[in-house]
Amino acid sequence: MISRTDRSVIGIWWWTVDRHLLGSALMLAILGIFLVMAASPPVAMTINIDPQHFVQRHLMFLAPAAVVLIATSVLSHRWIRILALAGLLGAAVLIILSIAIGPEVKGATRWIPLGPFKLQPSEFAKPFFAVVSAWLLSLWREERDFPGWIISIVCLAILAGLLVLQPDVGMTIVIVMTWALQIFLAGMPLALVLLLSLVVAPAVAITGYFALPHVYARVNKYLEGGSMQADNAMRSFSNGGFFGVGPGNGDVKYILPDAHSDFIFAVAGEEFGIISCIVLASIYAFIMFRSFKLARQSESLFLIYAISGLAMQFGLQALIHMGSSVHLIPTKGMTLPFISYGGSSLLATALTVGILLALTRRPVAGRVS
Amino acid sequence: MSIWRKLGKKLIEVPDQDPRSTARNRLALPFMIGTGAFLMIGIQLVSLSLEDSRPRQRFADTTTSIERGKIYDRTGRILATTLPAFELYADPRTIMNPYEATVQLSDLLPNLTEEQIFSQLTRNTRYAELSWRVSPATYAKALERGIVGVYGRERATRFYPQKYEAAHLIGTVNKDNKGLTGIESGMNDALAKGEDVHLSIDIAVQAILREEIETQISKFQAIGGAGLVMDVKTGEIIALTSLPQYNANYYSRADKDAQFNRATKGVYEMGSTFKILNTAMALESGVFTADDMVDVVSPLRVAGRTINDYHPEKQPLNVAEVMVVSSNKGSARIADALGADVQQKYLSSLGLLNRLKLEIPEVATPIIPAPWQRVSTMTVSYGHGISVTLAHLAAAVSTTIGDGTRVHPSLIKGGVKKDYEERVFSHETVRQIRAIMRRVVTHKRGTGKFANIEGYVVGGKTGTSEKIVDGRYDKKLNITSFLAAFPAHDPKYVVVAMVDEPKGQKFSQYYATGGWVAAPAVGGFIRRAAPLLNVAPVDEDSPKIRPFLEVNSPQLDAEVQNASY
Repeated sequence: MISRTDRSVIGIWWWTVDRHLLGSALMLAILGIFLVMAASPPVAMTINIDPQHFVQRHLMFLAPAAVVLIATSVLSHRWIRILALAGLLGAAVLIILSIAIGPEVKGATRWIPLGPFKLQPSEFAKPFFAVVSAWLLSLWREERDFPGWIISIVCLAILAGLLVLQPDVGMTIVIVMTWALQIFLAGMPLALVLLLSLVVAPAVAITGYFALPHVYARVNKYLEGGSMQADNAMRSFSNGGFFGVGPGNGDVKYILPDAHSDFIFAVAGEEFGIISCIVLASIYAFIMFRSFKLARQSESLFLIYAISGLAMQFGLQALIHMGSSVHLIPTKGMTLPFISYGGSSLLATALTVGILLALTRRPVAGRVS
Repeated sequence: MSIWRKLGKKLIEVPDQDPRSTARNRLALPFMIGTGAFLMIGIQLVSLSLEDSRPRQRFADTTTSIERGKIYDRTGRILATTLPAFELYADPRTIMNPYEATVQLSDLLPNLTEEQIFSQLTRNTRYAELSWRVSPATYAKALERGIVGVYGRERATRFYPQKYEAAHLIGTVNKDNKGLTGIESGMNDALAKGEDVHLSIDIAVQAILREEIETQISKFQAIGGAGLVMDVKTGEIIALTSLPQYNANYYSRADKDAQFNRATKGVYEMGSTFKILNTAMALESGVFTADDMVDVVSPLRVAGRTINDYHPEKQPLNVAEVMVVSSNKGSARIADALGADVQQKYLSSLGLLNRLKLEIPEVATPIIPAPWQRVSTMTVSYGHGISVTLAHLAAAVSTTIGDGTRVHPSLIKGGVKKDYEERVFSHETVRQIRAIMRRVVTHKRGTGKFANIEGYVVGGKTGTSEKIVDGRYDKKLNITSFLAAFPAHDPKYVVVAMVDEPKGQKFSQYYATGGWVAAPAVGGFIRRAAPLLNVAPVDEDSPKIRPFLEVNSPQLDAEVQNASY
C-alpha cells in the first residue's frame, strides 16, 4: 500500500487526511446511489423520459465529484484561500449572469445552461464564501488595523442581495448563518449578539414573510397545515415505520413533485424505514461535530473559523432538508448533501467536503521527528 | 471595578483574551444548538413512524373538521346543507383489467361514456378521477362489485334541497366547499366557521313570485325575467328570483344566461317606475305641491330631442295627475324645474348612484349619464338614460313609501342594522306618494289595473323601456316592469316584477307594456302570497283608511265625468 515514508503528494495526503470525515463522505455517496435509484424513476416517468435517466446522470456526476473532492483536499491552505477568493468572484459573476440571462424554472432564475447541463453557481459560492470570510475575520483578529469584519459584511451583503434576487431564500439563509457563526466565533460583543439574534433577525424574518409572496405562502401553508407536499412527506414516514416497506415498494414517491431531490429523505423513510433515516442523520451529525472538534484543535485562527463555517453549512443544509421532510419547518427546497440528485449540488458538496478535508489535514508529523 | 461594570464591559466589548480561546469557548454554542436540532429530527422521525399509517388523504384537505354552516330561509326551511358523499377514483397502476372494470363502472357513472371511463382507467398516473361526487349508495355498489384499483374517499358535499328555487341567491361552492357565488360566497367566512345563516327569504313566497313571473314569460314569449319582494320597513328581501333558473346542485352545468342574476347583477332602464321617485322629489323639495299645474300639452324639444307621451294630453294636469297618467313630458318639465343638483342629491340619498350593497357578490353599479346634461335630468325623471338593478329600485321605493328614511336592502333575516336614521322624505310626502300610487292602480287611465286585487289596497306603477342594442334604443325589444306596494295606505311590502323582451300577443292587442305583461304577475302574486305574508284584506272605504288615500285630481275627474255622459 502506501508507505508512511512515502513523500509523494498522494502519500502525504493519505497519512494526513482525516479518514473519519473521508469515510463518512464515502458512505453518504454510496447511500445516495441507492436512494436516487429508488426515488428518481417515478419522477422520470411523470415527465415521460427513460426511468433510469436520473440514475445514469447521478452516476455520471459521481466521477467528477470524486475528482473534485480529492483534488481539493490535497491543496495547501494557501492554495485553498486563493481558490476560494477566485472562486467566489467567479461565482458572483455567474450568479449575476444567471439572473440576467438564465431561464426561469419554477419561478426562480438560478441556473446557467451549459449544453446538456444546468449550472447553479450559488451552490459553489457557498463554500468559497465560508473560506474567504474566515480569512478576512482571522486577519482582522490577528492584525487589529485590518478592517476584515467590514469587508466580510460587504461580501455578505452583495452575495445575499444577489441570492434574494434569484430568488433563493434557502441559500441566503445558509450563507447568512455561516457568516453569523464566524463573526460570533471571532468575538462579536455579546450585547450585539443578543441584539442581532433577538431583535434584528426576527425583524428581518417578519419583513421577508410579508415582502416576499412565496415565503408568505409557504409559511402560511406550514402554519395552517393541509399542505399536500408536507402531508405526503409525513405520511411516508408513518408508512415506512421502523424498517421501511422495502426498496421500490413506496407510494409517496409517485406523488411528491421532487422526490429525487427535495424530498429524498421522505423516500428513504418510506422504503428503508426510520432506522435508516436515523443512521443517515447520524452521519451528518457526525461530520458536523467531528469538524467542530477538529476546528477546536486547530492552532490557526483562520482554520477555526473556516472549518466551523464549512461544517455548519454542511450540517445546516442537511438539517433544513430533513426538517422540511418531517414537517418541523416550512417546506424549503434544499438538497440533501451527497444524497439528492442534482449535478451542481453534488459537485458543490464534493467541493465543500474537499475544502473541509484540506483544512483538517494534520500537520505533517514526519518533519517534526 | 464593580461587578456591574465588569458585566457591562463583557457585553459591549470584543473579548480581550487570545482570539483562539474565544473561538474555542464559543464553539460550545453551535455544538449545543446542533445537538438540539439533530435530536429534534430524531424525535420527530420516531413519533411520525409511530403514527397511524393508514393512508391519509392524499389530496387537498376538503373535509375540514368543522362542518360548513347551513343556510335557512326565514321560517327555518333548509336551503343549503352538507351531506356525506364520495369521491370515486382509480389507481390505474393497480387496475387488473381495465376492460372489465369499465363495464362494471359504466352504469354507476351515467355522466361518463365507456370510452371516457376506459381512458381514465388507463392513464399513466396513480390517481384518475372518476367522479368527485357520488352518493353513498353508488359508492356501496362500487364496493360490492369489488373492482380492484377503484377507490372512494368520503368528502362532505354541499346539497341544495330546493334545487331551482332561489338558486341564484343561495349560490354555490367549489369542490373544496369554498363559497363561489351567492350567499355561499358572501357569507363564506361565517359558514366556514360552522355558523348557520338565516336568510330573509321565505321560500314559499319566493316560489309564488317565481311561478307568476314564469307564467307571464311564457304567455309573452319573453327571454327572461326577475322579481323581488322587499319588506318596506326593514329592507329585508323576502323573495328574489331570476329567470331562467338553474339547479343549484349542478351550477357548472348551467349556461351563462341562467347563471346570471338579473335581479341584483343586471342593470336595466326601469322606465316610468322612476316617476314615483321624481314626484316625491318634486313634493319634498318644496318646488311643487301636488296641485301645481304642469304643461303636458305643448311640444317639448331639448338638445335636438323630442320628448313624447304615449297618450298625448289635451289639457294641463297637476303634479299628481302627471304621475297617474304617466306623462313623460310632465315628468321631464318637473325635473327640469328642480334642476340636476336637486335630482342627483335625492338619487344619491336613495342609493341609486352607487354600487348595490348586498350580502352576495353578484351586485352591479348603476350606469348613469355622463356628462349629466339638462336633457339627462329630464329623461332620468321617467327612468331613461339611467340603469339600475331591481334591488336598487325596490330599496329606493321602500325608502319613499315606508316611513321616508333610508332603507338598505338585505338578504339576512333582520336586515341591515342602522347606526342612525337617514331621513330622505317627510311623512307628508310619503303619504301623498302612497295615495298617488294607489290612484295609478284604480284610475280608469291608470296603467296598473291588472294588479288591483280587491281588499289589499294595491298601489303601483308600470314601467316600460326600450332595450339598448349596440348603443341604440331598439323599439321592438322592451324591458317591462311593474312595481307595487301593498296595502297602499300603510305599505308592508314592495313587489317588483320585470319581464325581459316580451312579445305582443293577440290577447293583449299586441301590446307588450308593463301594464299588460308585468302587472298581472304582481297581481297574481299578491292574491296568493298576501295571506302567507300575514296581510289581511281590508275595506278600503272605511274611515280609517280612506283619508290616507286622498288625491286631488280635478282634471282627471272631469274627464271621467264627461266620458260617462
